[in-house]
Amino acid sequence: MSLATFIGQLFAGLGLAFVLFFTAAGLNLVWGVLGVMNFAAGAVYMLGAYLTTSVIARLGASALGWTVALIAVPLAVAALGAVAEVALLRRTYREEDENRQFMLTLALSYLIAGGVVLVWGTHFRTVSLPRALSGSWSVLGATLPVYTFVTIALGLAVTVAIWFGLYRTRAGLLTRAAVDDREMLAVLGVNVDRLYSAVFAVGIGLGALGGVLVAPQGAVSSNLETTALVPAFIVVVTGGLGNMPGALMAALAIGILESFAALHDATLAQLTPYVVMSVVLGARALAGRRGWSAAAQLRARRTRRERAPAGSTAG
Amino acid sequence: MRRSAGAFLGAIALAVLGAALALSGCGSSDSPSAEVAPGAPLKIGYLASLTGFCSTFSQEYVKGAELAVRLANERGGVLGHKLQLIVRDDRATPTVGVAQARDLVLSDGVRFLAGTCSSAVGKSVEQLVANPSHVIYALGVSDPTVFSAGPEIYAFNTIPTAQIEGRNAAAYIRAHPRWKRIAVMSEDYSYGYQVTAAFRQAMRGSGQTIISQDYLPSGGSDYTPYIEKVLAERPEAVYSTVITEDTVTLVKQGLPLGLFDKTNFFGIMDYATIDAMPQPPVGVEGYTFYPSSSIYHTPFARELEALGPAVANGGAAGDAFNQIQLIVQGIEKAGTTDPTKVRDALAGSKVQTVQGRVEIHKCNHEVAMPIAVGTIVGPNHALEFAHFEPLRLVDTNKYFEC
Repeated sequence: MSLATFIGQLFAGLGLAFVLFFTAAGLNLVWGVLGVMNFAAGAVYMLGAYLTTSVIARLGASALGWTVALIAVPLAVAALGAVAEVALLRRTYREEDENRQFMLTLALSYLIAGGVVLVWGTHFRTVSLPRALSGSWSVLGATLPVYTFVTIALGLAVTVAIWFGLYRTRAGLLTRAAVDDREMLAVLGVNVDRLYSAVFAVGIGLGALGGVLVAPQGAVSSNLETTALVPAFIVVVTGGLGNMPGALMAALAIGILESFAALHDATLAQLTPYVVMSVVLGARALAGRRGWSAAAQLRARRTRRERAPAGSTAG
Repeated sequence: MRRSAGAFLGAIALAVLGAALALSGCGSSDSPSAEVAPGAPLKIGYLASLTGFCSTFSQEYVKGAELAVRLANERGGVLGHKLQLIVRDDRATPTVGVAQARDLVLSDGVRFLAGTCSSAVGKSVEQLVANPSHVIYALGVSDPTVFSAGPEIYAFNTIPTAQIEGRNAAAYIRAHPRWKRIAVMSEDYSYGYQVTAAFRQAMRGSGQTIISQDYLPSGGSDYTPYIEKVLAERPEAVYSTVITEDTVTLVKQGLPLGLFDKTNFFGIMDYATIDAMPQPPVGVEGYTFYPSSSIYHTPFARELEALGPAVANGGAAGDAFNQIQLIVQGIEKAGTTDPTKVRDALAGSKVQTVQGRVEIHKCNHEVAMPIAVGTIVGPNHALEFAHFEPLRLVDTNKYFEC
């Protein structure tokens, strides 16, 4: 393999990884804090892409148009997410039957998909990039699309922002505390409901951001929903449910390995996410672990503690 | 008491069985009478894939079918019958398509069917209409096995099959013997595999080598790794069967990587698809077998333009238009609405289509539609959207093995 081929495949893999990470990060955040597996994540990603086509159609494929799309679309979809959390999801947290949350988010995904068809129709849409981002750079003989640089840079920026938000801000401290003990947080006077709404909105916004970034790369169609959801779930499960650094590592591993697998066989490349997930889950099982993240283990411990008879100790 | 309960359950079982038989059509004396009653509307059931994987162009198909029906009725109908179009969503799913087709035949008394964009639906419905229903079914699908049962079938195909498409692509590549290293990029589903197989077979003995064949994920959002891989193999030509929105993705991601500068690219490029591209791959050689109105200068192409340039040029509307026209002309040729006589009148005859007057092969009921090949140019003084210029029409009759 030549150096140019190696750089080209690595670069393509990194681009793939960060697009995967946006949706997976949103899923992970919502699962980690709210304990809700958001099956509407793929539909949110698709909605973000379709809204982008409308913004660009209105403002043009200029720097202004793309800046507005990059900021306004995730914010708008996040606001919708907050409304959905308050109106629907909030009523289900206390219920023991988690199928309700599953069904609710699934219903949301159908609603969004139906809404997209009503507003934008069944025909696919396309948007173009500003001229400055549509070319390529030559690096050590490899041709690298400028837009992939943008995707990777934004991916790194969002990764840093998530880390900063979770570990260097009071909101992040409260969010992490909510994972451990929601009741204690409420006793301390924190408005947990508001915190949950905010976390859900951020999770949804991240998914929509993925949609914004993918929109100029290809055709925007209803296929986006499924092409985003399944890989995002694989990333989340591989990285460990609720484990954000794990999701980033999983996205990078899957993206890069898929890119290099494509050198040998396209079908093998498509199987890569499943192979990586199987290997990681198998390794975990062999290591005697259950595949749960630290956050999920904490939640399980908390559940056991709550169910334990008074006076006994647990976990 | 126990005995009466048993009898009650037995009665329910019999009723359920009877209902199932009635719904399935079994046990009925036969299919409905062969001819439509004098003066009664002639119902045409249209299977539109309004939802499902190929819903993108479904509305255009319906518009094309509706236009053909409207024009036929304005001319007085066919043999004194006004046409009535009944549109059903087959969801591009065989079980749904068969259920809808069966319902159209048994409940609505439909003797003529058209539509679907799914080969899987087409194949299932073809088997349903062949026997015992005897219903004419005009459809445009790429799977050649739908029409492989021979001249007794009641189905007629209005687009070239994957076999014809692959042979045509091979003829194009073989006409450029300087291209020694050929890469193939295909859709990762049955259509892509069938075209690639036909292409490979037709390339045998050419002295040109197919160095790779890659099946790209259908509906995928990132083809960059696959494009990088193909370019790393330094092919002299790339043949692509990547279609519709996946073509848009391939072109968008291939342009900055130099896919179209570094190779001689030849692939399916429907007018609807290149028109939707913000930056079409100008200079690339493409082909389409869909009847875009601006390609053909025929009476039907002019009629199709009533739908507006975008829909008329898309090709899907033209295909549905052709399907209805085929049914109408078959009835006129036969002088009756009896489907068996209509089938016999159509097989081996020539019919007017958007593409002009074309032959229906008697052996498999495939209509020998031409394939348009040309160089992609952007909008210009001739046409306000991306198109082929120059353009040539390939007579596909030479690819048939009847």
